[in-house]
Amino acid sequence: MADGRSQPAPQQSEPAARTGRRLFAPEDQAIDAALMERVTTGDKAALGELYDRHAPTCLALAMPILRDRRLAEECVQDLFLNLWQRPHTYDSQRGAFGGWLMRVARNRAIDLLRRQRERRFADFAVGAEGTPFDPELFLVDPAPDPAELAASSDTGDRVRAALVSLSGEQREALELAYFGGLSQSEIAERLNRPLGTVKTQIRTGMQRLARQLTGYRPDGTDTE
Amino acid sequence: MTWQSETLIEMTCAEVEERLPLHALGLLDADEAAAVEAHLPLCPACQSVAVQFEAVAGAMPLALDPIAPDPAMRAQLMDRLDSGAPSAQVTKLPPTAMSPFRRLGLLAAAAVLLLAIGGGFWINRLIDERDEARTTAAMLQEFVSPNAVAMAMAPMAASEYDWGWGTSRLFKNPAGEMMLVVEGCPPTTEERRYPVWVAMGDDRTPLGDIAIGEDGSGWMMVTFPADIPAPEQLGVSMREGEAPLVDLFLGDMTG
Repeated sequence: MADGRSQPAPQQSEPAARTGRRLFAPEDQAIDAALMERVTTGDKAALGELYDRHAPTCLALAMPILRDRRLAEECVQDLFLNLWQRPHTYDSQRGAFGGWLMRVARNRAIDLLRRQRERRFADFAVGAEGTPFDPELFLVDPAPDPAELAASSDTGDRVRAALVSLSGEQREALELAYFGGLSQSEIAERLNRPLGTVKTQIRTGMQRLARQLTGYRPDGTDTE
Repeated sequence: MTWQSETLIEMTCAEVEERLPLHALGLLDADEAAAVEAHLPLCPACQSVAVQFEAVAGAMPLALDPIAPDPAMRAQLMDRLDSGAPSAQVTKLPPTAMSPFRRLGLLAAAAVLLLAIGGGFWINRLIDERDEARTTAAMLQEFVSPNAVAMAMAPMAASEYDWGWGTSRLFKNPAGEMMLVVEGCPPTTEERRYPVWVAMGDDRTPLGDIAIGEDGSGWMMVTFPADIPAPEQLGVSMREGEAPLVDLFLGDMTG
Protein backbone atom coordinates (compact mmCIF):
# COMPACT_ATOMS: atom_id res chain seq x y z
CA MET A 1 0.00 0.00 0.00
CA ALA A 2 1.27 3.45 -0.81
CA ASP A 3 2.22 5.83 1.95
CA GLY A 4 -0.85 7.92 2.76
CA ARG A 5 1.28 11.06 3.07
CA SER A 6 2.28 10.95 -0.55
CA GLN A 7 -1.24 10.58 -1.84
CA PRO A 8 -3.13 13.61 -3.12
CA ALA A 9 -5.84 15.03 -0.93
CA PRO A 10 -9.13 13.34 -1.78
CA GLN A 11 -11.84 15.31 -3.44
CA GLN A 12 -14.86 15.82 -1.24
CA SER A 13 -16.93 13.84 -3.70
CA GLU A 14 -14.64 10.82 -3.66
CA PRO A 15 -16.68 7.69 -2.96
CA ALA A 16 -16.80 7.22 0.77
CA ALA A 17 -15.88 3.55 0.85
CA ARG A 18 -12.75 4.13 -1.24
CA THR A 19 -11.34 6.84 1.00
CA GLY A 20 -11.73 4.62 4.03
CA ARG A 21 -10.32 1.53 2.33
CA ARG A 22 -6.95 2.90 1.30
CA LEU A 23 -5.71 2.47 4.86
CA PHE A 24 -5.93 -1.32 4.70
CA ALA A 25 -3.96 -3.64 2.43
CA PRO A 26 -6.06 -4.74 -0.58
CA GLU A 27 -4.91 -8.34 -0.27
CA ASP A 28 -6.05 -8.48 3.36
CA GLN A 29 -9.38 -6.97 2.41
CA ALA A 30 -9.84 -9.57 -0.31
CA ILE A 31 -9.12 -12.44 2.09
CA ASP A 32 -11.52 -11.05 4.70
CA ALA A 33 -14.23 -10.50 2.09
CA ALA A 34 -13.94 -14.08 0.87
CA LEU A 35 -14.07 -15.44 4.42
CA MET A 36 -17.09 -13.32 5.29
CA GLU A 37 -18.86 -14.57 2.19
CA ARG A 38 -18.30 -18.11 3.44
CA VAL A 39 -19.46 -17.19 6.95
CA THR A 40 -22.78 -16.00 5.57
CA THR A 41 -23.30 -19.50 4.18
CA GLY A 42 -22.70 -21.06 7.59
CA ASP A 43 -19.06 -22.09 7.06
CA LYS A 44 -17.59 -22.54 10.55
CA ALA A 45 -14.05 -23.00 9.27
CA ALA A 46 -14.23 -19.55 7.69
CA LEU A 47 -15.29 -18.04 11.00
CA GLY A 48 -12.34 -19.82 12.60
CA GLU A 49 -9.97 -18.32 10.05
CA LEU A 50 -11.36 -14.85 10.67
CA TYR A 51 -10.88 -15.44 14.39
CA ASP A 52 -7.26 -16.48 13.85
CA ARG A 53 -6.62 -13.40 11.71
CA HIS A 54 -8.26 -10.78 13.92
CA ALA A 55 -8.78 -12.07 17.45
CA PRO A 56 -5.22 -11.21 18.61
CA THR A 57 -5.70 -7.56 17.65
CA CYS A 58 -9.21 -7.53 19.12
CA LEU A 59 -7.83 -8.91 22.37
CA ALA A 60 -5.03 -6.33 22.39
CA LEU A 61 -7.72 -3.68 21.98
CA ALA A 62 -10.05 -5.07 24.65
CA MET A 63 -7.35 -5.56 27.26
CA PRO A 64 -6.56 -1.92 28.05
CA ILE A 65 -10.26 -1.05 28.04
CA LEU A 66 -11.40 -3.89 30.29
CA ARG A 67 -8.10 -4.43 32.15
CA ASP A 68 -9.11 -7.99 32.86
CA ARG A 69 -7.77 -10.84 30.73
CA ARG A 70 -10.70 -13.17 31.34
CA LEU A 71 -13.27 -10.47 30.59
CA ALA A 72 -11.37 -9.37 27.48
CA GLU A 73 -11.19 -12.97 26.21
CA GLU A 74 -14.93 -13.37 26.74
CA CYS A 75 -15.57 -10.07 25.01
CA VAL A 76 -13.65 -11.23 21.94
CA GLN A 77 -15.35 -14.60 21.93
CA ASP A 78 -18.77 -12.96 22.11
CA LEU A 79 -17.77 -10.59 19.32
CA PHE A 80 -17.08 -13.47 16.96
CA LEU A 81 -20.14 -15.40 18.10
CA ASN A 82 -22.22 -12.35 17.29
CA LEU A 83 -20.51 -12.09 13.91
CA TRP A 84 -21.47 -15.71 13.29
CA GLN A 85 -25.06 -15.11 14.32
CA ARG A 86 -25.45 -11.83 12.45
CA PRO A 87 -22.91 -11.72 9.61
CA HIS A 88 -25.07 -9.34 7.62
CA THR A 89 -24.40 -6.56 10.13
CA TYR A 90 -21.20 -5.98 8.15
CA ASP A 91 -21.68 -4.19 4.86
CA SER A 92 -18.64 -4.00 2.62
CA GLN A 93 -19.75 -0.57 1.46
CA ARG A 94 -18.84 0.76 4.89
CA GLY A 95 -15.16 0.09 4.33
CA ALA A 96 -12.62 -2.57 5.16
CA PHE A 97 -13.77 -5.49 7.29
CA GLY A 98 -10.80 -5.15 9.65
CA GLY A 99 -11.58 -1.54 10.48
CA TRP A 100 -15.26 -2.27 10.94
CA LEU A 101 -14.52 -5.22 13.22
CA MET A 102 -12.21 -3.13 15.40
CA ARG A 103 -14.86 -0.45 15.81
CA VAL A 104 -17.40 -3.08 16.82
CA ALA A 105 -14.89 -4.71 19.18
CA ARG A 106 -14.13 -1.40 20.86
CA ASN A 107 -17.82 -0.52 21.23
CA ARG A 108 -18.47 -3.94 22.71
CA ALA A 109 -15.60 -3.64 25.18
CA ILE A 110 -16.73 -0.18 26.26
CA ASP A 111 -20.32 -1.40 26.67
CA LEU A 112 -19.01 -4.21 28.84
CA LEU A 113 -16.86 -1.80 30.80
CA ARG A 114 -19.81 0.45 31.54
CA ARG A 115 -21.86 -2.50 32.72
CA GLN A 116 -19.32 -3.16 35.42
CA ARG A 117 -21.08 -0.62 37.58
CA GLU A 118 -19.40 -1.81 40.72
CA ARG A 119 -16.08 -0.69 39.34
CA ARG A 120 -15.48 2.96 40.09
CA PHE A 121 -13.66 5.37 37.82
CA ALA A 122 -10.65 5.20 40.13
CA ASP A 123 -10.32 1.54 39.28
CA PHE A 124 -9.77 2.45 35.66
CA ALA A 125 -7.43 5.34 36.39
CA VAL A 126 -5.24 3.32 38.72
CA GLY A 127 -4.02 -0.17 37.97
CA ALA A 128 -4.41 -3.15 40.24
CA GLU A 129 -0.91 -2.56 41.56
CA GLY A 130 -1.80 0.98 42.53
CA THR A 131 0.18 2.48 39.68
CA PRO A 132 -1.34 5.25 37.57
CA PHE A 133 -2.95 4.02 34.37
CA ASP A 134 -0.52 4.65 31.55
CA PRO A 135 -2.08 3.93 28.16
CA GLU A 136 1.36 4.02 26.57
CA LEU A 137 2.09 0.76 28.34
CA PHE A 138 -0.28 -0.81 25.87
CA LEU A 139 1.39 0.62 22.79
CA VAL A 140 4.26 -0.81 20.90
CA ASP A 141 7.55 1.02 21.23
CA PRO A 142 7.78 3.08 18.03
CA ALA A 143 11.56 2.63 17.86
CA PRO A 144 13.76 2.37 15.94
CA ASP A 145 12.79 5.22 13.67
CA PRO A 146 9.36 6.91 13.38
CA ALA A 147 10.19 8.16 9.89
CA GLU A 148 10.96 4.62 8.80
CA LEU A 149 7.72 3.41 10.31
CA ALA A 150 5.77 6.13 8.50
CA ALA A 151 7.20 5.00 5.17
CA SER A 152 6.36 1.37 5.86
CA SER A 153 3.75 -0.46 3.84
CA ASP A 154 2.50 -2.03 7.05
CA THR A 155 -0.63 -0.33 8.35
CA GLY A 156 0.32 -0.94 11.96
CA ASP A 157 3.69 0.78 11.46
CA ARG A 158 2.00 3.76 9.85
CA VAL A 159 -0.56 4.07 12.64
CA ARG A 160 2.20 3.90 15.26
CA ALA A 161 4.18 6.59 13.45
CA ALA A 162 1.09 8.78 13.17
CA LEU A 163 0.35 8.41 16.90
CA VAL A 164 3.92 9.29 17.80
CA SER A 165 3.67 12.43 15.67
CA LEU A 166 0.90 13.86 17.87
CA SER A 167 1.68 16.33 20.62
CA GLY A 168 1.98 14.77 24.04
CA GLU A 169 -1.32 16.33 25.15
CA GLN A 170 -3.19 15.18 22.05
CA ARG A 171 -1.85 11.66 22.27
CA GLU A 172 -2.57 11.36 25.97
CA ALA A 173 -6.19 12.50 25.61
CA LEU A 174 -6.79 10.43 22.48
CA GLU A 175 -5.30 7.27 23.91
CA LEU A 176 -7.27 7.57 27.14
CA ALA A 177 -10.42 7.95 25.01
CA TYR A 178 -9.63 5.17 22.58
CA PHE A 179 -7.59 2.62 24.46
CA GLY A 180 -8.80 3.54 27.94
CA GLY A 181 -12.49 3.66 27.03
CA LEU A 182 -12.95 6.79 29.11
CA SER A 183 -15.51 9.50 28.38
CA GLN A 184 -14.35 13.03 27.70
CA SER A 185 -15.47 14.08 31.17
CA GLU A 186 -13.52 11.25 32.75
CA ILE A 187 -10.44 12.22 30.76
CA ALA A 188 -10.78 15.86 31.81
CA GLU A 189 -10.96 14.75 35.43
CA ARG A 190 -8.11 12.30 35.04
CA LEU A 191 -5.81 14.83 33.37
CA ASN A 192 -7.08 17.84 35.33
CA ARG A 193 -7.81 19.74 32.12
CA PRO A 194 -10.92 21.73 31.11
CA LEU A 195 -13.46 19.62 29.23
CA GLY A 196 -13.31 21.95 26.22
CA THR A 197 -9.55 21.54 26.05
CA VAL A 198 -9.87 17.77 26.08
CA LYS A 199 -12.45 17.86 23.28
CA THR A 200 -10.18 20.07 21.18
CA GLN A 201 -7.16 17.89 21.80
CA ILE A 202 -9.00 14.73 20.80
CA ARG A 203 -10.52 16.37 17.72
CA THR A 204 -7.29 17.88 16.48
CA GLY A 205 -5.44 14.65 17.25
CA MET A 206 -7.89 12.67 15.14
CA GLN A 207 -7.67 15.22 12.33
CA ARG A 208 -3.91 14.91 12.34
CA LEU A 209 -4.10 11.13 12.24
CA ALA A 210 -6.58 11.30 9.37
CA ARG A 211 -4.33 13.68 7.44
CA GLN A 212 -1.43 11.27 7.72
CA LEU A 213 -3.32 8.04 7.22
CA THR A 214 -6.10 8.82 4.77
CA GLY A 215 -5.05 12.11 3.19
CA TYR A 216 -7.81 14.04 4.95
CA ARG A 217 -7.65 17.80 4.45
CA PRO A 218 -10.07 20.13 6.31
CA ASP A 219 -10.50 22.69 3.53
CA GLY A 220 -6.80 22.45 2.87
CA THR A 221 -5.92 24.11 6.15
CA ASP A 222 -4.16 22.99 9.28
CA THR A 223 -6.49 23.24 12.23
CA GLU A 224 -3.86 23.13 14.90
CA MET B 1 -40.07 9.80 25.80
CA THR B 2 -41.71 12.41 23.63
CA TRP B 3 -41.81 13.18 19.97
CA GLN B 4 -40.03 16.44 20.61
CA SER B 5 -37.14 14.81 22.45
CA GLU B 6 -36.23 12.94 19.31
CA THR B 7 -36.67 15.83 16.91
CA LEU B 8 -33.42 16.10 15.02
CA ILE B 9 -31.25 19.18 15.22
CA GLU B 10 -30.22 20.40 11.78
CA MET B 11 -26.50 21.00 11.35
CA THR B 12 -24.48 22.61 8.58
CA CYS B 13 -21.69 20.69 6.88
CA ALA B 14 -19.11 22.67 8.85
CA GLU B 15 -20.82 21.79 12.13
CA VAL B 16 -21.00 18.13 11.17
CA GLU B 17 -17.39 17.95 9.98
CA GLU B 18 -16.19 19.50 13.23
CA ARG B 19 -17.92 16.69 15.13
CA LEU B 20 -16.94 13.76 12.92
CA PRO B 21 -13.63 13.02 14.70
CA LEU B 22 -15.47 12.63 18.00
CA HIS B 23 -18.35 10.79 16.33
CA ALA B 24 -15.95 8.15 15.00
CA LEU B 25 -14.83 7.53 18.58
CA GLY B 26 -18.39 7.40 19.93
CA LEU B 27 -17.74 10.43 22.12
CA LEU B 28 -20.64 12.68 21.08
CA ASP B 29 -23.67 12.98 23.31
CA ALA B 30 -26.91 11.45 22.02
CA ASP B 31 -28.40 14.66 20.58
CA GLU B 32 -25.27 15.58 18.67
CA ALA B 33 -24.78 12.04 17.42
CA ALA B 34 -28.37 11.91 16.18
CA ALA B 35 -27.95 15.22 14.35
CA VAL B 36 -24.75 14.02 12.68
CA GLU B 37 -26.35 10.73 11.70
CA ALA B 38 -29.34 12.54 10.23
CA HIS B 39 -27.07 14.72 8.12
CA LEU B 40 -24.80 12.04 6.70
CA PRO B 41 -27.30 10.17 4.50
CA LEU B 42 -28.14 13.44 2.77
CA CYS B 43 -24.57 14.68 2.22
CA PRO B 44 -22.03 12.63 0.20
CA ALA B 45 -19.22 15.10 1.01
CA CYS B 46 -19.64 14.64 4.76
CA GLN B 47 -20.06 10.87 4.24
CA SER B 48 -16.64 10.80 2.61
CA VAL B 49 -15.08 12.60 5.56
CA ALA B 50 -16.93 10.40 8.05
CA VAL B 51 -15.56 7.25 6.44
CA GLN B 52 -12.02 8.59 6.71
CA PHE B 53 -12.36 9.16 10.44
CA GLU B 54 -14.03 5.77 10.87
CA ALA B 55 -11.12 4.18 9.02
CA VAL B 56 -8.67 5.88 11.37
CA ALA B 57 -10.64 4.70 14.39
CA GLY B 58 -10.73 1.19 12.97
CA ALA B 59 -6.98 1.17 12.29
CA MET B 60 -5.78 2.43 15.68
CA PRO B 61 -5.73 -1.05 17.29
CA LEU B 62 -3.17 -2.08 14.67
CA ALA B 63 -0.68 0.03 16.63
CA LEU B 64 -0.96 -2.44 19.49
CA ASP B 65 1.06 -5.59 20.00
CA PRO B 66 -1.32 -8.47 19.20
CA ILE B 67 -2.15 -10.76 22.12
CA ALA B 68 -2.69 -14.43 21.34
CA PRO B 69 -6.03 -15.58 22.76
CA ASP B 70 -6.20 -18.61 24.98
CA PRO B 71 -6.57 -21.62 22.64
CA ALA B 72 -9.30 -22.93 24.94
CA MET B 73 -11.36 -19.83 24.15
CA ARG B 74 -11.14 -20.60 20.43
CA ALA B 75 -12.25 -24.17 21.01
CA GLN B 76 -15.10 -22.94 23.19
CA LEU B 77 -16.15 -20.50 20.48
CA MET B 78 -16.26 -23.23 17.87
CA ASP B 79 -18.38 -25.33 20.22
CA ARG B 80 -20.74 -22.41 20.75
CA LEU B 81 -21.21 -22.10 16.99
CA ASP B 82 -22.93 -25.46 17.09
CA SER B 83 -25.36 -24.53 19.82
CA GLY B 84 -28.22 -22.67 18.28
CA ALA B 85 -26.29 -20.41 15.98
CA PRO B 86 -28.94 -18.62 13.93
CA SER B 87 -26.56 -17.87 11.09
CA ALA B 88 -26.00 -21.53 10.40
CA GLN B 89 -29.73 -22.10 10.41
CA VAL B 90 -30.68 -19.22 8.20
CA THR B 91 -31.44 -20.37 4.71
CA LYS B 92 -31.88 -17.47 2.39
CA LEU B 93 -34.87 -17.93 0.15
CA PRO B 94 -34.08 -18.28 -3.52
CA PRO B 95 -35.18 -15.22 -5.48
CA THR B 96 -37.95 -17.08 -7.23
CA ALA B 97 -39.45 -18.15 -3.91
CA MET B 98 -40.16 -14.57 -2.90
CA SER B 99 -42.86 -12.48 -4.47
CA PRO B 100 -41.78 -9.24 -6.14
CA PHE B 101 -43.95 -7.33 -3.69
CA ARG B 102 -42.25 -8.93 -0.72
CA ARG B 103 -38.79 -8.31 -2.15
CA LEU B 104 -39.71 -4.68 -2.65
CA GLY B 105 -41.00 -4.47 0.88
CA LEU B 106 -37.87 -5.99 2.37
CA LEU B 107 -35.66 -3.70 0.34
CA ALA B 108 -37.66 -0.65 1.35
CA ALA B 109 -37.56 -1.74 4.97
CA ALA B 110 -33.82 -2.18 4.74
CA ALA B 111 -33.50 1.27 3.25
CA VAL B 112 -35.47 2.97 5.98
CA LEU B 113 -33.68 1.02 8.68
CA LEU B 114 -30.30 1.97 7.34
CA LEU B 115 -31.33 5.59 7.19
CA ALA B 116 -32.81 5.41 10.65
CA ILE B 117 -29.52 4.30 12.15
CA GLY B 118 -27.52 6.83 10.23
CA GLY B 119 -26.50 4.35 7.61
CA GLY B 120 -27.46 6.26 4.52
CA PHE B 121 -24.14 5.24 3.02
CA TRP B 122 -25.95 2.36 1.39
CA ILE B 123 -29.20 3.89 0.29
CA ASN B 124 -28.00 5.03 -3.12
CA ARG B 125 -26.52 1.61 -3.81
CA LEU B 126 -29.72 -0.10 -2.77
CA ILE B 127 -31.77 2.11 -5.02
CA ASP B 128 -29.39 1.67 -7.91
CA GLU B 129 -29.54 -2.09 -7.53
CA ARG B 130 -33.30 -2.19 -7.54
CA ASP B 131 -34.84 0.48 -9.70
CA GLU B 132 -38.31 -0.64 -8.75
CA ALA B 133 -37.55 0.34 -5.15
CA ARG B 134 -36.79 3.94 -6.04
CA THR B 135 -40.28 5.28 -5.50
CA THR B 136 -40.87 3.34 -2.31
CA ALA B 137 -37.49 4.24 -0.84
CA ALA B 138 -38.09 7.91 -1.58
CA MET B 139 -41.43 7.70 0.18
CA LEU B 140 -39.89 5.99 3.19
CA GLN B 141 -37.09 8.53 3.33
CA GLU B 142 -39.72 11.07 4.42
CA PHE B 143 -39.85 9.25 7.73
CA VAL B 144 -36.22 9.84 8.51
CA SER B 145 -35.71 13.25 6.96
CA PRO B 146 -34.83 16.25 9.13
CA ASN B 147 -38.49 17.31 8.89
CA ALA B 148 -39.69 14.05 10.37
CA VAL B 149 -39.76 13.26 14.07
CA ALA B 150 -39.13 10.04 15.88
CA MET B 151 -39.90 8.59 19.26
CA ALA B 152 -37.56 6.06 20.78
CA MET B 153 -39.44 3.34 22.63
CA ALA B 154 -38.10 2.02 25.90
CA PRO B 155 -36.73 -1.53 25.59
CA MET B 156 -38.05 -3.96 28.19
CA ALA B 157 -36.01 -6.73 29.78
CA ALA B 158 -37.19 -9.28 27.21
CA SER B 159 -35.52 -7.31 24.42
CA GLU B 160 -31.99 -7.73 25.80
CA TYR B 161 -30.15 -10.31 23.76
CA ASP B 162 -26.64 -11.70 23.80
CA TRP B 163 -25.46 -9.02 21.41
CA GLY B 164 -27.19 -6.08 23.17
CA TRP B 165 -30.62 -4.51 23.22
CA GLY B 166 -33.19 -4.59 20.47
CA THR B 167 -34.47 -1.16 19.52
CA SER B 168 -37.76 0.26 18.33
CA ARG B 169 -38.69 3.70 17.09
CA LEU B 170 -41.88 5.27 15.83
CA PHE B 171 -41.30 7.71 12.98
CA LYS B 172 -43.80 10.37 11.88
CA ASN B 173 -43.45 12.20 8.58
CA PRO B 174 -44.62 15.77 8.00
CA ALA B 175 -47.97 14.46 6.71
CA GLY B 176 -48.59 12.78 10.06
CA GLU B 177 -48.15 9.22 8.77
CA MET B 178 -46.40 6.92 11.23
CA MET B 179 -44.06 3.97 10.79
CA LEU B 180 -42.91 1.60 13.52
CA VAL B 181 -39.40 0.17 13.06
CA VAL B 182 -37.94 -2.66 15.14
CA GLU B 183 -34.41 -3.97 14.80
CA GLY B 184 -31.84 -6.01 16.67
CA CYS B 185 -34.21 -8.90 17.41
CA PRO B 186 -33.08 -12.52 17.09
CA PRO B 187 -32.65 -13.59 13.49
CA THR B 188 -35.11 -16.22 12.43
CA THR B 189 -35.53 -18.70 9.64
CA GLU B 190 -39.24 -18.02 9.62
CA GLU B 191 -40.99 -14.72 9.83
CA ARG B 192 -41.81 -13.86 13.44
CA ARG B 193 -44.81 -11.68 14.27
CA TYR B 194 -45.01 -9.46 17.33
CA PRO B 195 -48.34 -7.91 18.42
CA VAL B 196 -48.43 -4.11 18.37
CA TRP B 197 -50.94 -2.27 20.52
CA VAL B 198 -51.98 1.09 21.95
CA ALA B 199 -53.34 1.63 25.44
CA MET B 200 -55.42 4.05 27.43
CA GLY B 201 -54.84 3.22 31.05
CA ASP B 202 -54.81 -0.56 31.35
CA ASP B 203 -56.95 -1.14 28.28
CA ARG B 204 -54.91 -2.32 25.34
CA THR B 205 -56.19 -2.22 21.77
CA PRO B 206 -54.36 -4.31 19.16
CA LEU B 207 -53.13 -2.58 16.01
CA GLY B 208 -51.84 -5.67 14.24
CA ASP B 209 -48.59 -7.61 14.12
CA ILE B 210 -45.16 -6.40 13.05
CA ALA B 211 -43.31 -9.01 10.99
CA ILE B 212 -39.66 -9.60 11.96
CA GLY B 213 -37.59 -11.15 9.22
CA GLU B 214 -34.42 -13.18 9.04
CA ASP B 215 -32.28 -10.11 9.74
CA GLY B 216 -34.05 -9.52 13.06
CA SER B 217 -35.76 -6.34 11.89
CA GLY B 218 -39.15 -5.26 10.64
CA TRP B 219 -41.44 -2.32 10.07
CA MET B 220 -45.12 -1.52 9.80
CA MET B 221 -47.27 1.50 9.13
CA VAL B 222 -49.21 2.54 12.21
CA THR B 223 -52.64 4.14 12.33
CA PHE B 224 -54.30 4.83 15.65
CA PRO B 225 -57.94 3.68 15.99
CA ALA B 226 -60.52 6.39 15.36
CA ASP B 227 -61.79 6.07 18.93
CA ILE B 228 -58.25 6.32 20.35
CA PRO B 229 -56.70 9.18 18.38
CA ALA B 230 -54.22 10.02 21.16
CA PRO B 231 -53.29 6.85 23.07
CA GLU B 232 -51.27 7.03 26.25
CA GLN B 233 -48.97 4.20 25.30
CA LEU B 234 -47.72 2.28 22.27
CA GLY B 235 -46.24 -1.16 22.76
CA VAL B 236 -44.70 -4.15 21.02
CA SER B 237 -45.05 -7.51 22.73
CA MET B 238 -43.93 -11.07 22.16
CA ARG B 239 -46.08 -14.17 22.14
CA GLU B 240 -44.55 -17.52 23.09
CA GLY B 241 -47.04 -20.33 22.57
CA GLU B 242 -49.88 -20.14 25.08
CA ALA B 243 -47.90 -18.04 27.57
CA PRO B 244 -49.08 -14.50 28.36
CA LEU B 245 -47.72 -11.71 26.19
CA VAL B 246 -44.34 -10.35 27.23
CA ASP B 247 -43.66 -6.69 26.47
CA LEU B 248 -40.62 -5.92 24.33
CA PHE B 249 -40.89 -2.16 23.78
CA LEU B 250 -43.04 0.54 25.37
CA GLY B 251 -43.49 4.10 24.15
CA ASP B 252 -45.02 6.80 26.35
CA MET B 253 -47.21 8.93 24.09
CA THR B 254 -48.27 11.43 26.74
CA GLY B 255 -45.21 13.69 26.57
